[in-house]
Parts: sequence; structure tokens; C-alpha cells
Amino acid sequence: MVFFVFVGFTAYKIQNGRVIETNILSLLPEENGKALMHHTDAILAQKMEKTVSILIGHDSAQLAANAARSIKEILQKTALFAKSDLSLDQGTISENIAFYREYNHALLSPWQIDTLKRNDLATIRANLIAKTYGMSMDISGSDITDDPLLLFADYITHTLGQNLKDAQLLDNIPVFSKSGKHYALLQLQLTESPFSLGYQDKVINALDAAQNDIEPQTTDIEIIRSGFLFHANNGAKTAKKESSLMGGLSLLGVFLLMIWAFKSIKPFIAVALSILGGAVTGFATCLLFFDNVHILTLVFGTSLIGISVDYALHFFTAQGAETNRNTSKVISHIFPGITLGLITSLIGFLALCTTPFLGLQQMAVFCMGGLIFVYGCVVLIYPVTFQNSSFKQPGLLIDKLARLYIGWWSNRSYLTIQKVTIFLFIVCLLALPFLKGKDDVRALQNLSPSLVQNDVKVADVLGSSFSPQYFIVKGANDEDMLEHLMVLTSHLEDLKQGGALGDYRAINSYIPPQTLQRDNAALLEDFMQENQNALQKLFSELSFPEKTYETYISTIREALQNNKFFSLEDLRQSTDNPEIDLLYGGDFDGEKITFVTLSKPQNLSKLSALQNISPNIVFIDKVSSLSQLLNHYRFTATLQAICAYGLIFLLLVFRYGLKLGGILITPSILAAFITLSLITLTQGSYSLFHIIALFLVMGIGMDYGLFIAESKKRTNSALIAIILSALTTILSFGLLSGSNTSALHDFGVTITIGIIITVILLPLITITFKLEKPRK
Amino acid sequence: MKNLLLAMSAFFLLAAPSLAQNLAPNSYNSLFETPDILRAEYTEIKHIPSLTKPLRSEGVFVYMKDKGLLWDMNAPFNMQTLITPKGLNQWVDGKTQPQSEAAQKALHPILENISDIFAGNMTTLAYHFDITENSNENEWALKLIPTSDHIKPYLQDIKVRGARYIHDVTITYGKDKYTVVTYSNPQIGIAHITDKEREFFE
Repeated sequence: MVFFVFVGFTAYKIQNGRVIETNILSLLPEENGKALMHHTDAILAQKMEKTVSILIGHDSAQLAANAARSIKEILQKTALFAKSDLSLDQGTISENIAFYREYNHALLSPWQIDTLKRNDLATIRANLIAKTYGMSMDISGSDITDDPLLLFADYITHTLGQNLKDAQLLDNIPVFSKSGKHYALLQLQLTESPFSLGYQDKVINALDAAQNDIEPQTTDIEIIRSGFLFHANNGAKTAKKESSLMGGLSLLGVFLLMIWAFKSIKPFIAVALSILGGAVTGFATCLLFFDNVHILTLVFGTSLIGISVDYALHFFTAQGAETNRNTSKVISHIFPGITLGLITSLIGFLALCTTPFLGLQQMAVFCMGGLIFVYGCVVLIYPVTFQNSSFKQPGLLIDKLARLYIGWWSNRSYLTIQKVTIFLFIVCLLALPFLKGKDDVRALQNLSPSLVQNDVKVADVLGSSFSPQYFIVKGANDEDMLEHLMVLTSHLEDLKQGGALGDYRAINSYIPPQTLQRDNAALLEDFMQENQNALQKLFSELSFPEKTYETYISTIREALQNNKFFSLEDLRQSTDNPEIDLLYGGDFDGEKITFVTLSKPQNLSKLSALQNISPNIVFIDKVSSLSQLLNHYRFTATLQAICAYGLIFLLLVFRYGLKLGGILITPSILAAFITLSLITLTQGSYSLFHIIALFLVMGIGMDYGLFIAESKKRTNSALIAIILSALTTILSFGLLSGSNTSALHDFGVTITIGIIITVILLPLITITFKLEKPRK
Repeated sequence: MKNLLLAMSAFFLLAAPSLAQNLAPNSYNSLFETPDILRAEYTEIKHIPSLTKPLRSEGVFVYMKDKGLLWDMNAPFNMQTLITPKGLNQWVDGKTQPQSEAAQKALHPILENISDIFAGNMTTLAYHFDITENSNENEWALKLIPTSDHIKPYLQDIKVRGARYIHDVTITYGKDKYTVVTYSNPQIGIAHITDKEREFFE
């Protein structure tokens, strides 16, 4: 009944929204006290992740532009894109120029400010002559009367030229040239999240269709795609592939093992249905607590098979050993063991829930839901379903091997076993200082090399690449923010000149603060006044209209008197500039914020030091910050694991006493230490995910110990069930270790090694429990 | 971007005479000669409605294949404009005019195109213009009308006329706004290039 309620709930959730999350970044924890970074990260990610860049390369710039235009026209018909061109087109450029021209008296490039401050009339004169008689062929009447020094053209080139970089516009398509080849750029804005699986496929299909349409028309064309969407799609496909491959192989392995062990298909069918029900319950439980479930949770959920099958195997093994087919008796034999096993597993998973990783919390909830379901099946449904069924006592071979191995241990004296155990503990303790952590957040990502190559190529052609480091500049209002930004960019300019930084992009490239606009106008006024006679003579020589000087200086004075300067809000309302949209962060906590993106930073410490200039300047190093966070949580998780072991030990002491409780937990603890040492030895370091996997090693290892402790006279039957379940676990997690995703690989490797070591050390418990009678 | 447009205009100004020289061996059946080194005197008259009178300038034009082009203006001001494969340079009264990084970047593809034209690559120009011929027995005449949407607002047409060599180029930007460049006294060969002119290319 409960199960069907869960199924109904899951169906309802699936129908009412996107329940599968594919964004790998959502696995990462949120940092406490870094709300600003989270806010800006979210804004930047939202702005950047919704952009797709397509480069169309050809030896002919015009053919590249033509192909780009054709692709653009095809894509515009799909309604999949909010904008099919995010770069400045001619119309937008004209709009921008018209807006800026209104304020030309307040706009000066750094070179012009420097020249005017030096009162360098000769340079201004030469510039004016060069523009009038030289190549500036589109001087109009308004240029001359509004800007007789012809400074505006330089300013506008400096400002808007940065947006176009090396591009030339061919039919409104920016075309870049690189190594003798021309690349037309199409930048598309997505209407939906790039992590939406259905939308990803639609976009990629539309791009494929457009590409297929164009390629036959233009020979030797090269089309390069870049954007989050392609990585998200690749990640989702890989996860799906891994999920179905691992799930399938794991299921096949369990099937073959059970057929071989029980010589009947019934146990397999029962187990398969239980696991399917467990997976549905796990999924539904996740949806109960979370808005959506990460696709990696589903991949991890496939490994649930390896754990939950244990309970069923104990049932069937015990049933095989039961001569009168009384399932009530079977349940009474295995109930204490699997119940305690479930409790210890739940303790392990609950500890996982306390980690700040959303993805891991989901995995833990998924597994807990699934385990409880399978446990319920074994305890409540199996006894009814298999009331009169009989199964063969499984695995003659396993039985022989188990006896042989335990026999080997039994031949050692108890003292020797104790000595070996103590020796192993000492070795592990000595190894502790040499265990090295691995906290690079980049290891979490599994990016396709070909897609990364595309990103690199696009960044290379466009002459820009965003680094994961950036600045946030805050201010009480837009003006205050621009003032602080100006301070920062002057330092960034120095670092750029000194080679500590490749490049940077900041909003003040497009708008000086109003104080600077006023200073510029005042500077122009001073210059005009000081050189009145010379300028009037020059204007006359250049055939400028009479009164040019008087008209211009009165315009400047009027602007100064009437405060005719523009704000960021004026600029944003009157013009369309994709870079301003990208860099402006809007409001946060009652302040205005903006970003400064960096390209090819060479000296992070120098960049980081710039935030000491003002509390309004914040340097964000996402990689370093998240890596530090991983380091912190690796340490915390280690403490949590120790606490979980401690809690379980108390539980065991309560039931079995200090000595037996200690012996029961010993294989798990030793397995954890030895596994960690082996991983560090073979892989050089261990990550947070190795530590978290040890929670599962502990849970599963404790299950095994408890099954033996509670088996009383049926130790052999319990041991066979344990070996069978260990084989299924190793199969599942061994497959998981083949995952391309670093976190899942770490999980798989740790649990596989951990379980093998646990099983090897298991006789320690069997022998001890034979020597000492456990309490009832 | 403005500079890009300015540069585009410059491109057409420069392209026109060069076009005339290069059309001959390709599409227009040797309308005029295309020497490797050409030196000619020029007079430019720029008509801008708001000016009190047209701007008149004169000087020497030098074309050296694979090296570049030079306009050495000597009146009313002393100004030189040089285009080489490395980029654009300007001097006024011997003083170098600064070219911002952004302007240089914006000019780069245009200058490359100009080089293509002088190398006889007419394909580039045909991308931007409809080219029509209106010649008679005594002289040839070409008219170039821009086809690209982003050029049309800034440039109405370019007319090039000549006989053995190019004679004049008229660039019309809009109503009553145009420039006429007239070439005279063409001289062929390195012997006619002065040391001072040669130095610009070195």
C-alpha cells in the first residue's frame, strides 16, 4: 500500500516538473558565509550557461559569414533560442554610437585625458588634421559642430572596439581571422536551462540539421560548437550510459550468481522485483525530500542492488538450510542479524546525510528508502510468498572454500590472531601521517576532451577566455560601484601591463562614473579656454564653420551647469550591449554589484591582494575556494566516520559486551584503514569521496559481522550468504569503479577494496564467537 | 566600431585606385596598366556640406607591390599615410599619430583585404560591391555600388575613371558629401621613388 502511494507520488512529481538534475555543480556544497559568492556565481552561471557559441570557419571570410547567416536563419525558425545573435550588430552599434554622441563632451579615452591634462596642443592639432584630411572620410557636419576636436571617434573605437575585438562585420556577422582562416561567430541565447535533457536534445538536433543543410553547400567548412549545453549533454549521456551499463551488468551478475547458487530462478525474480521496488521507493523518497534527483544519484542507486540483495540472500540461504520449509523459523533466525544490519547501514547513511553535498544526501536518502523497502519485502512478503518453496543449500564450492579458509584461521592460536590484529592496527596507525588528501574540485568534473578542445579553440579565435577567478565590485549605488570599479581597473591595467594578467573585462569600459564625466568636460573646457586663439585659427584653416569654437565651449559649459551626464541606468535603457548585460550584477543585499572577468591570470596572489584596497572589492577564486571547502569537509567527514564507528561500537557493546563488540567492529575498522592506505599507496592521495565510501564499508562490514554473530549454530549458512552477498557487492561497486566520474570511481574503488578486506578479516569474528558464547 | 567603419571607408578609398589597377588582368580585360611600382601626383578635394569651403589637399601617391602604399601630402599640411602589411601609420608634421590597440585590431582585417586587392584578389572586393563598367573609346569608367547592408548607410558609390592609368576616383558618401581624388603625372619604376619616400617602406 505504502509502495503504491510512493509510485503514485513519483508519477505525480514526474508529470509536474523536471525531476532529473544533470548539473554536476549541484553536487557541490554551499559555503557558509559566502552568500555574495553564491549569488554572483548563480548570476554568472545563469548568464554564461545559457549561451552557445558556434564558429563557422572557412578560407573565405564572406563564405564563412554567408554560412553563419544561413545557419542563423534556420535556427531562428526553431524558437529554441531567445536571441540568435548576442554580438553587436550594425543596428546596435549605430544605436550605441548615437547614444554616446549625445554625451561626447564627457567622454574621453585614457590617451585623450592624458594629452589634454598635459595641455598638448600640438598633439591635438595633429590628430585633428589627420582626421580631417586623412582617412576619416565620414566626417559629418554634426561631428564638426559637436566635436570640433574630433575626439569622439577615438573614444568610440576604444569603447566599442573592445567588444568586437579582432572581428570585422560582414553582413552583420562578426568574422574573426586566425592563422589565415576566417571564423564567423554565431552566439545563441537559450530559452531554457542547458541542463534540461529534452531541451538539450532539441537544440543539438536543430544544430545538426542546420549543419547538415549548410555543409553540402559550402565545401571545406569547419563548424565548432562551444557552450555549457554540450558539456551538460555529454555528462548526462555518459551518466545514462554508465547507469544502464552498470545496472545491467550488475543485474546480470546477480542473476547468474543466484541461478548458480540456488539452481532456481525464483530467488532471482524475487530479488529483482524487490530491487526494482527498492529503486522506485528510493527515487520516490528522494522526491519527497528534494525537488529533483541528480542523475548521479540514479547511477549510484544501481549499486543499491549490491547491498539490498544481502537480506534476500540470507533469507534464501537460510531457507535452503531449513528442512521443514518453515519460513517463520527462517525469519526468526535471520531477523536479528538483518535488522541490526539495517540499523547499522542506516546509521552509515544518516551520517552521509549530514554532509553538505546535496548529491550525497540524495544518494543516502535513495539508499535508505530502497534498503527499508527490500528489508520490508524480506521480512514481510518473502515468508508468505515462499512458504512452501524449497531451495538447495547454495554453493558447495563456496561452502568448501569458506570451511577451508576458516579452518586455516582456526589452526592459528587465538593469541596469534590477536597479535596479527594488533600488528595490523599499529601498521595502520603508523601509515596515518602519510595519508595525503586530494581536494581539487576540478577532479569532480569529467569533461569530454573533444568538447574542451572546442572551447579552447573558440576562446583562441575570439581572443578571450574566462578564468574561474573574477572580481566582484560593490557600491551603495551604481555611481559608487563605478567609482570603486575605476580604482580596481586602474590596478588591473598595471597588472596587465606587467604581465600578471592577460586581460580583463569590466563595465566601466562602457561608462565612466559621472564624476569622471564631469572631470572630462571640465578638462575640455580648460583646454579650449587656454588655447582659444590657436584653436580658432586652426578651425578656420580647416574651413570649419564660423563660431565653431564658441558653439562648442558653450555646449560644454551648458553640460557642466545642467549636469548633462549619463548614468548606467540611462545607458542600459537606451542601448543594447550584451557585455554590459553579462557584467552587471544588479542588486545584492541593498547594494549594486558588478563583475570583472579575467582572462589568463598569471599571478593569483597579486590579483587576490587587490581586494585589500577596499572592502567593496572582492576577489573570487572559485577553484581554490571549493578545493578548500572539499578539504574542510574531508576532515569533517573523517570525524563523522569516526563518530559513526563510535556510535555503532556503543550499540554493539550494549548487545554483546565490550570484548565481542570490539571484535565485531574490528574487521570494519581495519578494512577502513587498510583500504585508505592502499588507495593512498596506489593513487597517491585520497579524496572526500573515499572517506564517504568508508561509511558504506562500515555499514556493509557491520552487516556481515552481525549476520555471523546472530547466526548462532548456523554460522556456516550465514558465512555462505555473506560470501554470496559480498560477491554481488564487489560486482556492483567494482563496476562503479569503472565510472568516468571521479566521485563515483572513488566510491567504487573504496567499497570494492573495503569489502574484500572485510571478508578476508571476517574469520576473526567467526572464531571469536565460537570461542565465546554471545549473549542472547 | 566607428573606427572599423572609418577604416572600411578608407578601404574603399584605397581600394578604388588599386581596384582599377588590378581589374585589368582579371575581369576587365586590361583596362589600364598595373605596374609593380607606381608614383603619381594627386589632388584630393573633400566636399563636406557644413564646411565653409571644400578641403583641398595635394601630394604624391606611391604604390610598391608587396610593400605598401603611401600618400605623402605636402599641402596644406605636411602629412603622410602609409599602409604596409604590418598596418597603418600616419605622421603629421613628422610626428607619429598614435593608433590605439583597438583601432589597429579593427583595421587589421581591412588592411589585409587591401593587400589582397593589390595582389590581384578581386574576389574580396566583389563580396562588397556590384561593379559595373561604362567605358568609351577614350577612357574607361567603373562604378562600385556597395551590396553589404552595413556599408550602404555610409557609402553611396565609388566611381573610378582612367585611360592608360587611373585618372580620378570619386567617393560619394551621401548628398553633397563626396571626395574626388585626381591622379596625374604617373611614373613607373623604382627610379622615380625618392629616398625619403623609400624610407617609409623600410
